[in-house]
Amino acid sequence: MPSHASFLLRRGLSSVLVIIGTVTLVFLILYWLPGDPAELVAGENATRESVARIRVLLGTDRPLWIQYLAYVGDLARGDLGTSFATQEPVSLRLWAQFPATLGLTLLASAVAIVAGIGFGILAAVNHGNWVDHAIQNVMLFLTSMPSFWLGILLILLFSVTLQWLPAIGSGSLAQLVLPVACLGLIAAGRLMRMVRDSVLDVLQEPFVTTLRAKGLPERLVLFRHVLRNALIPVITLFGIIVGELLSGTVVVESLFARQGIGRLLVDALSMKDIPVIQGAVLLASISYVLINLVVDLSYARIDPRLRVEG
Amino acid sequence: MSERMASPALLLAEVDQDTVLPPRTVRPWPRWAHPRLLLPILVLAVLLACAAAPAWIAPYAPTDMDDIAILSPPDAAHWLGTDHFGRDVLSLMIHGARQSLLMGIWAVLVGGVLGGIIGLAAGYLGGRTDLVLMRLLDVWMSVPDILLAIILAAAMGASLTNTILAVGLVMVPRFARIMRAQVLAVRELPFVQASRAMGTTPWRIVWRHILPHTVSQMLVMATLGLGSAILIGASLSFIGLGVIDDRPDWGFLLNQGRNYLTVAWWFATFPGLAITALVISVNLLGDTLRERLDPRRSSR
Amino acid sequence: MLHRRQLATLLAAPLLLPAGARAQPTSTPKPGGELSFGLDGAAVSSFVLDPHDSGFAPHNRVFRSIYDSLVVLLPDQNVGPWLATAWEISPDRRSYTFTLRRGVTFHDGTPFNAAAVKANLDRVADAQSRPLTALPDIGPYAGSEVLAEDRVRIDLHRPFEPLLRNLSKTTLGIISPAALAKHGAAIAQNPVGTGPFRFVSLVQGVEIVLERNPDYRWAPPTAAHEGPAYLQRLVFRNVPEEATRVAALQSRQVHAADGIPPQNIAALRSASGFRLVEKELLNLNYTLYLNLNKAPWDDEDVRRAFRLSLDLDALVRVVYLGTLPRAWAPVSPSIFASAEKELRGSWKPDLAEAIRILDAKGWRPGAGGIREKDGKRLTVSFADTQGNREKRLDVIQFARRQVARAGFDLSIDSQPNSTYRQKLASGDYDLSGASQFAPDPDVLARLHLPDQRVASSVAKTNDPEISRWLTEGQQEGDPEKRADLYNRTQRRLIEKTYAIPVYVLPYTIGITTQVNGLSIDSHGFPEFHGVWLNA
Repeated sequence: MPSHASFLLRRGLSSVLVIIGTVTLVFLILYWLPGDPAELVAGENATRESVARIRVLLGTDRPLWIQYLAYVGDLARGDLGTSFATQEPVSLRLWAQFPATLGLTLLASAVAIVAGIGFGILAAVNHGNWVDHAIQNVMLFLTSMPSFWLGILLILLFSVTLQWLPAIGSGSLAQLVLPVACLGLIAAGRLMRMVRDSVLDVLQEPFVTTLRAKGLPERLVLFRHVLRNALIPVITLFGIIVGELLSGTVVVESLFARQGIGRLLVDALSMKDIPVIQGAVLLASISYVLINLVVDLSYARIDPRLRVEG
Repeated sequence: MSERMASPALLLAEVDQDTVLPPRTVRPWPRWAHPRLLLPILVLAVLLACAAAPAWIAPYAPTDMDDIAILSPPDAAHWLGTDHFGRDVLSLMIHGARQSLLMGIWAVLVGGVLGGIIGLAAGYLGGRTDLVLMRLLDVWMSVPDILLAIILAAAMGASLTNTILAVGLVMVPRFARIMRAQVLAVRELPFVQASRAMGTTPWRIVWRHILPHTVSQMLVMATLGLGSAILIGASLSFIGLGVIDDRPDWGFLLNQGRNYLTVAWWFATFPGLAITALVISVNLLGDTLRERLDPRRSSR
Repeated sequence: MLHRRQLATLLAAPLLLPAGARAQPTSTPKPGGELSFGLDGAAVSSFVLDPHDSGFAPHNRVFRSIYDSLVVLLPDQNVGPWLATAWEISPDRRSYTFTLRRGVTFHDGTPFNAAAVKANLDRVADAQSRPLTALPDIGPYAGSEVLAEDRVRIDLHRPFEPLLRNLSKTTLGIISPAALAKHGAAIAQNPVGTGPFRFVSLVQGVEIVLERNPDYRWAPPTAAHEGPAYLQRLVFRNVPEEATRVAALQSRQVHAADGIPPQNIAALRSASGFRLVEKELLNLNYTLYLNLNKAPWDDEDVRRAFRLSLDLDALVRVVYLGTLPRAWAPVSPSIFASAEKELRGSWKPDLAEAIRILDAKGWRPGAGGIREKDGKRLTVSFADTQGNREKRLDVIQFARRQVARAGFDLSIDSQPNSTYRQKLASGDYDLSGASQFAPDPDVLARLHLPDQRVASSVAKTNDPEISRWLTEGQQEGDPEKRADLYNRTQRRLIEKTYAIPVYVLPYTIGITTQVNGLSIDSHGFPEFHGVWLNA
């Protein structure tokens, strides 16, 4: 069995490899796309000469592998490049949008965890009765709805009809409620199923029967012993859910007119603002890899048996 | 890492096998199996019928535009109302069923075949090939689903083929992982080793012994994947990368209709419900399939 | 909708105006307050607040509040004084001498003077690394000369009659030369003008915050008052999703929102508590352009057959739910020399005739009703990038059904902006659509005059007569003769089926009845100078 330190090292190393791989993959996809960014940067009155000049300026006239090396070189120095569209540093543009997306994702995760685990346990302890069925059906419905549809229904109900919550913008807490609900409820649905199944599985383990036989109160059995074991597989799912939430921000940010990385990315895609797309994807993939790293580590901590694999 | 970065649906499948949980006690099937199995089968049967012969079922052609009945509410002539062009929403949905299913099924096929090959190679060849392929999949999965689909679709331009490709490519890793896990489980079984010892060619071993054992799990994944594919497709429509056609798919219809929700609720609501019903159905079906095909209960 | 009625009764009923009534301030304007405006920013979420460098209409709707112009466009399409109080044109019409208003200062305290005008125009003319969007607005600009603190002469290489109207455009708004020197290209994120509002902050793609310029005393003669604006703050919030934008207005999260889609116009008009303000945008109407360099459009008869198979009256009525008129002329009706009147009823849809022409030309019905000739299908590829902005994708989807009856296969090739532009430049398309706001019919030259258009122009017209008229139109000093040149150009564009105008766009703002004094200028851009809010 490898030591904890070497496990950390190996996991860290493979994370870095994944990120480098992602950068390369996205780079290749982007440059393989048709469409010349110089054409857009040059503006509406561009002549052929000015387009050519801008191509040189952007460096897109060079062979692909040189561009790639230059990009990776800059990246190694922490330079994400300059936005084709606004001529601002990419790091600046990302940084301006990141807090909004982070807030949205974190709160949505919190909603997902609280609602997912809460309803999961509720469904499991009510296994087979109407509460279980109701929770399962509602959650199944939520997870099966296209997110933008759910979003617009939330706006119509809570902003237009009831006038309780703002429909647009970012900044205040009230403005976060609807987008967080839209993202969080969908993720909660997935989490709920996992928790329910897992709790049911653990409830049937012999040690639970033993504890119950010993006369331990049911609440203690559930919260002190069952949950602990049941949450192991659930933690795993969390890493994935964060990935889905990051994806989901693309839709939710556009719909609720919020600022954020998702909206920046969609905009950059239409303008073929390659450095910005690269930066946004890099940010998403780093967050994703980091969260999964944390999940793995906490996983290994909770259940030492799992430390061996990696 | 490889065990963590999987889709939730896939995870649910994998956890069953990998973790050290004891087998569940068998639940009384008939109590809830009926609605959970019957409902999706019923829904899918209707959809397949629509997809197979839309012209027979739909009351109108999807291209019929009724100039005087624009955005008219459901009535005897148009059961589900009309859209902003005066087209019959029900007929659009019946014809759109084919587009949506076509898109979903092809995307799943693309993902399944590509992912299957990768998973098979990784699992069967093992060693360095496995390592390289699995790292590649990690990279693939580190770009969240919709993001990758959007990048690919935006790159290639919106058309049915490109949407299928974009969504299909996004789904490759989850199939590859399932396939690999299955191959790893089967590879070392005594009869496979015996067969290898007898000098059977690798192709034959794969074809005769390994693939048949992976079919059930891949089928489960494909069923669940159909739901994700349709949801990702709908998101692409929302971003403006939908496929424009005389027979729009449901995602496209929902996206057009959502702007009319306050004046013509039927235009978005019915396509939205149809998508949801389809996704619910394939999810229920996938779950049921998985439970029934659980290797611990059936094959071992 | 019930809730809104309930809400309305809760509000002080006497304040509510009858639906559709114009906002006549019933009491004296009340200064102060913040107005939140839901801006239809379309898909483009990066704000460029450099007036010389954005031809994108949503940006220009913001410019009017930050920047003033030398002259103002009057309702009668002539120009009136603004930052310039008077001007003289030399007999050879190549020199314009402006007398400037005194006592005008930029938001950064820099005085507005002849040197500032020269700095601005020189900047537009100087294509350092790339030409600015406003470059065509100054035409054959030769240079400016500072004659005195308040007198500047603009010299041209040859007469350029659109100049005065162009100077009234937001795109030639006057930027502080000190700010230009300080910020360079970053002026787009740090705008400094002389307008009624000054820039406070910007969240890229999300919102622009402006505040009242307390020193403002130079509103144009079209304004209701000369002094500072009433509003303390003005916030533009970019809400690209139309359903969300309307919801934000209906829930009163914004006081006003533009780009109100047709399906919500009727509802807002009849709802109490809301009003609509609308005005025709001076515009090269949204028009379908046929790529004349390529088969099948190199054949005039096939072009005509295509148009005959289109029923634009029905199309515009259905797609826009009767909220806006169809267009007959390339330039919108209010623009000087628009041929709207002359062209009204100039052609009628005639499917039978379309079919007859195509038959005669050897295009025979093939598989699926699509015509073929020498094994080639009659496929027409429509290049697009805008998505469904102003329901333009709906227009094409509807047109697709109409022309299919004649045997055309209209396919929609929706591409990201960069690919789209490349396709236009390389000519790899059959049909595309575009509009462009402009106060002078000379805008036609940017599309139909080969040596004045850009490589990625949607129009590929190359007609010697049109070229001659458009060139003469830039130099003809007599307004009547000039009008005739543009009138002829427009008639020929239609007669030869080079272009098919589709609809006339009224710029539409939905407001809550709390908003008073909101106006739209002669170009069709919103003015917030006279706006004040009820308590």
